Amino acid sequence: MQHASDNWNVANFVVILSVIILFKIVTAQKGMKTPFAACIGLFTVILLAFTVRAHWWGASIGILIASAFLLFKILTSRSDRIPTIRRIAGLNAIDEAVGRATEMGRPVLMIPGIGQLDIPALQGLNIFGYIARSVAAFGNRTILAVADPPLAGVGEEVIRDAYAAGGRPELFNPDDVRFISDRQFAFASGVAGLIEREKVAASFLMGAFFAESLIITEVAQRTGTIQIAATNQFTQLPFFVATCDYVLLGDEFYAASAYLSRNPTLLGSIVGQDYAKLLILVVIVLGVIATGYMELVHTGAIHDSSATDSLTKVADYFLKMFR
Amino acid sequence: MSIINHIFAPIPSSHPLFYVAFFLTILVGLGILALLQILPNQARKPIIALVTFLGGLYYTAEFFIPVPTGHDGNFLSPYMDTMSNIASVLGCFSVGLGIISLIGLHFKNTIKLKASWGFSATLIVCFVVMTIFTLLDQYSPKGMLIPKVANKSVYQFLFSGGLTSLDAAMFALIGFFIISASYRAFRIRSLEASYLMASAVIVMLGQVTLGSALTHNIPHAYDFFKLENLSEYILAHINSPAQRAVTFGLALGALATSLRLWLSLERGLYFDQEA
Amino acid sequence: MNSNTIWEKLQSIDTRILYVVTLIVIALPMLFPQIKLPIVPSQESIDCYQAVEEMGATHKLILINGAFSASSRGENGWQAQAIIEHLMKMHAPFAIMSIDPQNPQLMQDIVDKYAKKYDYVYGRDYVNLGFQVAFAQTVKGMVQDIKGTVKEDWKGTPLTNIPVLKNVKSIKDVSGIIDITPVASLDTWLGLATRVYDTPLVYVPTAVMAPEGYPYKDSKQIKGILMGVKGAGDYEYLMGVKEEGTQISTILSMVYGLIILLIIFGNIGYHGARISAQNAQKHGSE
Repeated sequence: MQHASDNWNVANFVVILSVIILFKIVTAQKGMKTPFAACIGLFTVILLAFTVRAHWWGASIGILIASAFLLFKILTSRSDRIPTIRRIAGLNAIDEAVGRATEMGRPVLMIPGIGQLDIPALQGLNIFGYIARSVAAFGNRTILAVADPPLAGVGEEVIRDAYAAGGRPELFNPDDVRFISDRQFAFASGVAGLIEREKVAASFLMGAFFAESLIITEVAQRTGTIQIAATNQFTQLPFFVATCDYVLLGDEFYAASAYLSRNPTLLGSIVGQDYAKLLILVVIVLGVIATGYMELVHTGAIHDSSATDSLTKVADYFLKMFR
Repeated sequence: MSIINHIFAPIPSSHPLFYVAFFLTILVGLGILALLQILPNQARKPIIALVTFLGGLYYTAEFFIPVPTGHDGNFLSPYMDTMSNIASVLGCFSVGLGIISLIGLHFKNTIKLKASWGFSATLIVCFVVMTIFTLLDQYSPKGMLIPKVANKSVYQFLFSGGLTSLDAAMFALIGFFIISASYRAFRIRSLEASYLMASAVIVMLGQVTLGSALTHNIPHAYDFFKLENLSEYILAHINSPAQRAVTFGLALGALATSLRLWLSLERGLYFDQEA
Repeated sequence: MNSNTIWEKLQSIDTRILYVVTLIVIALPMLFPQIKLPIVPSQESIDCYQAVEEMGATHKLILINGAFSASSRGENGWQAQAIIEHLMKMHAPFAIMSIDPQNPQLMQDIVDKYAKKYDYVYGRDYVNLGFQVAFAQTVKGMVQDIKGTVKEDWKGTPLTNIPVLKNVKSIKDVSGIIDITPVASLDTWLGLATRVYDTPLVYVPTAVMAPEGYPYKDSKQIKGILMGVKGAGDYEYLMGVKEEGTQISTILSMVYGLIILLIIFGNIGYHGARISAQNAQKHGSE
């Protein structure tokens, strides 16, 4: 869809999911409540202006109720309860991998994917910042190989700051942040050569990967590198599982920064995502029930009556909402 | 054309104002950079947060503001081209930075004769040769004789004969690597692994003519047990729901990360210090 | 643990031997074309074929998106070849657009292979729109105005001068989109283009990317999926021709058989070593 007007129901559903996530982020931190409450108030006024003008009274009442509920929850929530995240094996193995690399005296390689400067790459860099701080504390070397020039600039900042935070700024070498190539297989062959020549001991692959992932991971396997991988590309997960020691599946990748840092904002975001997933699950279950019900009506298994007529209208309206 | 589109409209190099606009842009850019350097950290952060917010706000607003009936977009839509051009220009500068960093590194390795300097020298030679022949191919005046190999320009020869062939060769390596990876990794160590193995074998055979040939003679009444049908069932009814579930999780993760980046709620790498 | 037992040897065959065997298995059907296996087209391939038939029957322009380069030509190239030959057989007009710099030439080479046979003339029957730098922006623009967005073909000729695009203004005037791709371009087409005028979309990915299309096929957002080289072989079978796709389907079968065999050897070795170790322990303790 090019604009929200193509399907307001889907657009509004995404807004609801966003509000749930933001709500959980905001209530996890003390300092954000007032500005967020002010924004909720402002948006409520703007939305009411639209809906009242268009005489959408149902929508106006819904907006008022939702805003009141949100404001109440924001202002009365406690931010001293820090949510917990279940154990993620791949992330627990980071320290083991970094320690092993230090013992062997070999560098650590990080690859934020082959995509451009986008969400998966930035998430990868976030995680690498944490890992690089550990590597710096151990006094080891980090190599960051990127396939997008802007990522080289951002990555250099991240790794430099990580080494400074780890107390070893003098160990940072700008030449270790390398733009290899933006061509997929030129990048793969460059990284494969890097792994072989530098005898990398630990390799972290976190970001968007495509066909080149197997080349990189298989070469690293041969050199005895311990590998931890995460990607947003579903189709590459089997290759990582076959060749890497640890793999973060699905949104464990996006939960990684919260898991490693235990930052309340990020933990709140993860909780918000889980609530959003719960909402999607409820919608799916209702959709399945509605679809099944409509099938029964169309095949004549359920006969028309005043009770079923209302149910049929509700089911039909619900199904049409997301088409 | 609105004022904003007019200001940011590309100017052809033949236009008299081109060089004025060029130098003015560089001056303004340097001025902004200098200002950001002078400002203390505490003052810089709100500016960066504001620019980030405004940048994201445009696309969000353009998506959500209703489109009047009979129109293709709302009042923000005409500026989409301008925003794309800005992004493209930024991308071009960053490509230049990438090339400078790449060549600089390999040049240093070659001059200092570091380990594997031969590879660095090869890269530099290939880069220079390709650049020269690409420029010759694209910009040589008409009628000028350009070197040819096997009836093609050297650029075409290097691109089609060199780059594309090497690309294909690297992709072909995956075939060999998957064989060694599968052989090494797929061991039935548990019940779940045996389910995985069974479904993998069914799907693999069902995807190729070998599977169709093996179960070709199954009676029509038991068509479901033909490997291609079993494979389709596994992909469509078992794999797809799992894939959708993973996709939902990834999409929500991306949504949350995008929101945090847009609203500058994303902390730096040393989160606990800032928190 | 004794690494010289048959069980250990089965588990640790040298990778060089594996690669040589793979080479032989790939080469044999190429050297001896009599080695072939019967083709049974999958339902997805049949649906894809029928969808393209329906698109072609309208005799309106079909938009083919080529996203592959030389690296994935081994799969997408044969798929593109089969589909383009099919379109030419139906004498359906088409436009090729590319989102990889290598793709325009690769697609043109495929078209040139059959153009003489089916009397296809550039400009009259088809056009090559060339490489489009910004994929999402181009698709968004094409939804409303193809000629205004793309402006020129791959050789620099203004699209307004190309006869096959005479009655084509936007995606609305296109009978369907065929996405031949090794990358995740499906979401862009579905999100930006097909919903606006309910334009049929056929997804032609490499085998690895194919599972991504199943949820959309299930919800009828795409009309068919043609998966990898096997899909190309199926397509040729449905068309009644035997080109490279058919031969490579046989090679693929043999390689898959080899992989399964090797996995079986590895597991026999693993479990044999395990049982052997357990027995040795039992006899040792008795």
